[in-house]
Amino acid sequence: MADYTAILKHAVKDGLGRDEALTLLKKVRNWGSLHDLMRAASRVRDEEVGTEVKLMGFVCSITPCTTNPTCKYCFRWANPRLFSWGDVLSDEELEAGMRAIQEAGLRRAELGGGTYAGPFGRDYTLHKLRVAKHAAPRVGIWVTNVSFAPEDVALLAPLVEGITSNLESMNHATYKALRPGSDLRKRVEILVEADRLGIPTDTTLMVGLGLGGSEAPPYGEWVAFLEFVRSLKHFRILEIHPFRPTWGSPVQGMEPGSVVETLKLRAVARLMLRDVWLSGAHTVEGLMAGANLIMHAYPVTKSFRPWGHSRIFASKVRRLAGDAIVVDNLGEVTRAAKELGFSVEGGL
Amino acid sequence: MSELSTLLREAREGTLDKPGALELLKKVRDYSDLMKLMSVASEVRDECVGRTYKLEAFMSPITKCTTNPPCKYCRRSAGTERELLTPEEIRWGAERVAETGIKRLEIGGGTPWGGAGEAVINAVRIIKEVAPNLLIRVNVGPALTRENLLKLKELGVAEVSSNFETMNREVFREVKPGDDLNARIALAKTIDAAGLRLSTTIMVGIGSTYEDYVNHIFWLKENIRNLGRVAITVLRPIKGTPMESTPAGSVMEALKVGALARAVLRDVDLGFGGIMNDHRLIPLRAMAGGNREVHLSVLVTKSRTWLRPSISPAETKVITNGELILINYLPLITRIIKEAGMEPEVEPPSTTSR
Repeated sequence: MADYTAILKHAVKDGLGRDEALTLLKKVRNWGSLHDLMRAASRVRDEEVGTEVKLMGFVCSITPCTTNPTCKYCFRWANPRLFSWGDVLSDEELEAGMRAIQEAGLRRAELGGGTYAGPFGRDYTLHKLRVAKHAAPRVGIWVTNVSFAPEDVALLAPLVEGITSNLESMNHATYKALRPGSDLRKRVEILVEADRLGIPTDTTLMVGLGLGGSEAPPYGEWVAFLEFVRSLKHFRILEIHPFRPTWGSPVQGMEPGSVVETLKLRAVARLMLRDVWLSGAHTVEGLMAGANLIMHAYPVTKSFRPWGHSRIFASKVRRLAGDAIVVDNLGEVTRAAKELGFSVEGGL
Repeated sequence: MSELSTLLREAREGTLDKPGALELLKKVRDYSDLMKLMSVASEVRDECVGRTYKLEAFMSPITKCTTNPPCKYCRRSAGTERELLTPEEIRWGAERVAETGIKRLEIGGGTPWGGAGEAVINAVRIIKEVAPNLLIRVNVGPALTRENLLKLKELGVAEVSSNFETMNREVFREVKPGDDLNARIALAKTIDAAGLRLSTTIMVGIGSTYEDYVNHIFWLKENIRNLGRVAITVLRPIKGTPMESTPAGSVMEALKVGALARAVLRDVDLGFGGIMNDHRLIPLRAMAGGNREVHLSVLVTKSRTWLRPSISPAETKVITNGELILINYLPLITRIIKEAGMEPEVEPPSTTSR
C-alpha cells in the first residue's frame, strides 16, 4: 500500500484513482495527515476553480412533500409544518424572494421543497419555476425538489441552470431502510438524464448515514459514490455533510456522522473531482478542505422557519411579501472566506 | 522584516521574540499561511505536551457576580441572573461528574467583590469528599485572598483562574467598566506565588489589536512561572447585551492567536472558547495546537441553554435532579478527539446507565 504522502503528491498534479482514494481515507488518521490532505485539496481547488468562492441562494419551499412513509431522518419529525402546504411559498412570496435574491447580487439560487409525487407535482414545479424565472431572470435556478420523473427533465431544461437530485447514499439497503417512501433509482436516473441533456447537476453525500456507533466508515461505498458523479460529464456541485439525527425522528438514537470523516471526504472529493463546486465554504475548516461554494446564502422561507438564523452573527431577518422572509446572512456566511483571503463571487 | 518561513522556523524552535510574533500575526493573511502556522503549533504541542487532549467538566454557578456595571458581553448585562447551586446540588453534581470518567472539573461563578473565599472553600470541601480524585480548577475572578488560595491548595486544588480577556486597559475599561484589571493581574501573581497553576483567557473580538495579543502572551511568559492553561475565547454576542450587535469574534483570528500562544508559551495547556465551543471545531482546535477543552463535554448547571440542539439525541445524555441537570457529551467529544489523532484524557465511566 503506497504511502499517503506519495499519493498526495501525485494526486495534486494528476488526480486520484479509486484505490488511492481508499488508501487516503484509511491512512489519514491524525491531525498531521489530515492537515496534509486538506492542504493538497486546497491547492487543487485553487488551481482548478480558483480562489473565488461561489454563492448559492436558497428558496424553500416550492412544493410540499408527499413522500409516504416519511424518510426516517427528515426534519419533518421535529417540525411537522416543514414541507407541508403551510410551508409552501405563494407565487407572490416566491416572486418577492427571487427579486430579493437578484437585488442582493446573487447569480443563482436553489429552489427547494418536498417531493410532490406524480404529474401534479411535476406541473406544480414547472409553474413555480416559471414564476421564479420571470421574477428574477438574472438568477440561475437550481431545482432541488425532485418532484418530477427522469423523463420530465427535458421539460425543466429551459427553466433551470441546473438540477439537484440528492442521493445522500447509494447503498440500496441503507436507502430502503431510511427512506422507504423514496426511490433511489429514480433519483439516480434524474442525474443521468440531466447529464445526457447537458444540464449541470448537483447531489449530496451524507457521511455516516445509517451507521451504528461501532461500524467502520464505508470508505468503499463513499468512493464508489464519488466515482459515479465523476462519470457524469456535466456534474457541477457536490455537497458533503455529516448525518445529523433529527430530534423526535425514528433515527434519533443513531450516531451522527463524523465531522473528521466529513473533512477527509471533502478533501478526497476535491482531489478526485477536481473542478466541481464543493460546498462548505462558509466555514474555516470547509475552506481548508477544498470547498469553494456557499450553499443556503440569503435564504427565503416562510416566517416560521427562518433558515439558519443565528443570533450570534446578528443576521437580519427581513419580511418580503405575505409571510415570506429572508435571512440576510451574507456577512455571516462569507466572513470566513474573506478573512482567509478568498474573494466572493459578485464582489459580495 | 523577516520572511514568513523564518518566523515559522523561530516559532517552531521557540525563539520567537515580541517583534517577530507581531510580524507573524501580520503576515499570516490567508488560509495557506494559517495552515502553515497551525502545523507548527501542532508540532510544538506534540513535542511539549504530547497528544493527550485534556477534558474538563464545568459546574456553575457557585458564586454570584456583583460586578457593577456588568461586563458588556456578559449575560448579566442582559438582565439574566442564575440561581446559585446549593451545597447539596454541588455534592450531587460532583458525584455525577466523577461517574462520567472525566478527570477535571472547573467550578465557576461570577465575581463577588466582597470575597468568595468561604463559598469556594466550602464547595471544594464538598467535592473532595465525594470525588477526591477530581482535579479542580476554581474560576471566580478576583475574589480570593492569598489565605484563601493557600487553603485551596491545601485542599488539593490544582489550578485557579484569573481571566484578563485583554491587557489593553482602554479596551478593558470599555467592555468591562465595572471590573478591575489591576485586581485580576494581582490575583494572577498571587496564584502563581502560591504555587498554584494559573489559568487565564485572552478574548478575541472585543477590540484588542495584534499588538495587544502579543503583549498579553509575552506578559504571561515573562511574569508567570506556573502558567497552567491559556484559553483563547471568541466573543459570542448575546442578545440583550450592549454588545449584541458587535460582530462575533473571528475564528481565524482566534486560531492565529492560539497558535502563536502555543509557539511562545510551549508547554501550557491551550484551549479555545466562546463561539469556538462547538464540537464541530474540535479538529481545527487540535490542528492549531490545542490540547484542552471545557464547556463541551460535561456540564452541571440549572440553565437549559447549555443543551445544544446541534448535537444529536444519541449523544446527548442528560441526568436531572430537580432544576439541576448534568449534560454529558463525552462520547461525542472523545470520538472526535480520537478521530483527530489525539488521546482524550478520560477514564472509563464508573456508571453507565442513570
